[in-house]
Amino acid sequence: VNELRWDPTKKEWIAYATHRQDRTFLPPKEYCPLCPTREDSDFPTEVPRPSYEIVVFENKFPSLVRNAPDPEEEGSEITPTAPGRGVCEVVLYTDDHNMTLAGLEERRIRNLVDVWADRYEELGSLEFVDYVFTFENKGEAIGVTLHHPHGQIYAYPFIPPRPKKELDAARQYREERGGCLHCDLLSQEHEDGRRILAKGDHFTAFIPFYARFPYEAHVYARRCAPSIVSLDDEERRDLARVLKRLLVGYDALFGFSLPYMMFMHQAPTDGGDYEEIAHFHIEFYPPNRTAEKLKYLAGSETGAGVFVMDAAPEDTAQELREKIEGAAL
Amino acid sequence: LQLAIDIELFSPVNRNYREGEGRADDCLRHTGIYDLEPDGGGGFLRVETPVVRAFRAAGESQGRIETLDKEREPKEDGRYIIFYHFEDEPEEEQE
Repeated sequence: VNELRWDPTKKEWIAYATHRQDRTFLPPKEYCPLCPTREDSDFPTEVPRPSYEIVVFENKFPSLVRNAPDPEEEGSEITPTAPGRGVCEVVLYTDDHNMTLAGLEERRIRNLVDVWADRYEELGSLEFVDYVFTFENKGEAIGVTLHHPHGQIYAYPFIPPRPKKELDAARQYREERGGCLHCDLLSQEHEDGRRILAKGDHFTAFIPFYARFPYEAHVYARRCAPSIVSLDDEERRDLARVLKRLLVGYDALFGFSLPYMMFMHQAPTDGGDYEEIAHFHIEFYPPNRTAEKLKYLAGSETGAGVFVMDAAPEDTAQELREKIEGAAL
Repeated sequence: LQLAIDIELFSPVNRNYREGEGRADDCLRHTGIYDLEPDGGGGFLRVETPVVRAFRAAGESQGRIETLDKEREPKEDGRYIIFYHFEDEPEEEQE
């Protein structure tokens, strides 16, 4: 089954891709499908070369496919179905199985920024793609099935609900007050200063005033850049620099490689007007609230949509900022 | 005398329509910056093609980013794989 089903109670599409149940699950290192295929190996991986820098390929177990079949379930007037059309790509950061994004040299993260931009541009130009969503799940606590350093890109045939809610809020803000909501939020964070984690020349990392996770961090472009494609060379270099500082600080926080979800929010590619509405930024969500304890999405968070935080962003920001400033790059 | 030249790049209709052999919307050639789609009232709507997005993205980057060096290859099962190559720049000295 590869189809979308409409939830009219929340006005959201749910993607069904039942073939993913059989995807590779935490294989031993010598059978990692994302490592290069070594010349003396009898195990061909996804990458048919003995080494590589950055590689992108179509996901073998995609949630959305280019040539999606008609839905198997017909649905109804109030619960329609649709083909699960889209593109799912895997982005391999390096051929070093034991590396992480945090451990990459800054210039390699800079290269990765270019690849992210290239994918946004190419996938976003597809007629059926309305939103290019770049993300990384890191660590078993997040549910990763492969440890090799990699991220993913989903090119959706619609604007997903979370970015849409954010865009709708920014549009309303622009109409009612003028200007960009995200620019004003960033100004507020700069003026307050207590939740700032790291500042570069063009990007700022901070824990938002309204953080849902103790060590949640947002990395905002200071200029109102709608997408990663619109960043110039200096901005891309600075983004790599700020990401490196934040990630090294994350790993210094508890003394181990911190799991997280990372994703980008930027302008949809549906041809709409997103001037002063879409503001490129990256969000990080580590699940840890301490070294040993995770924050779970329990009753209030899942059932009511109300996050309950047991740590103040001002305190966790100070703790993480000290780690960032003290960490050797 | 002021001359206004208005160039609009949209999908043209082919010769079949001129020769009266088909409905206009059956004779469109989708080659342009805009597609024409019937508006249900006998007219057409101008709808952006993916070319517009590609131009817009290129405009946003203001040509400041050089084209990436990449190789695209088909995989045996029909998927694609892209290899990106970068010049090995020396790391900037840390202060």
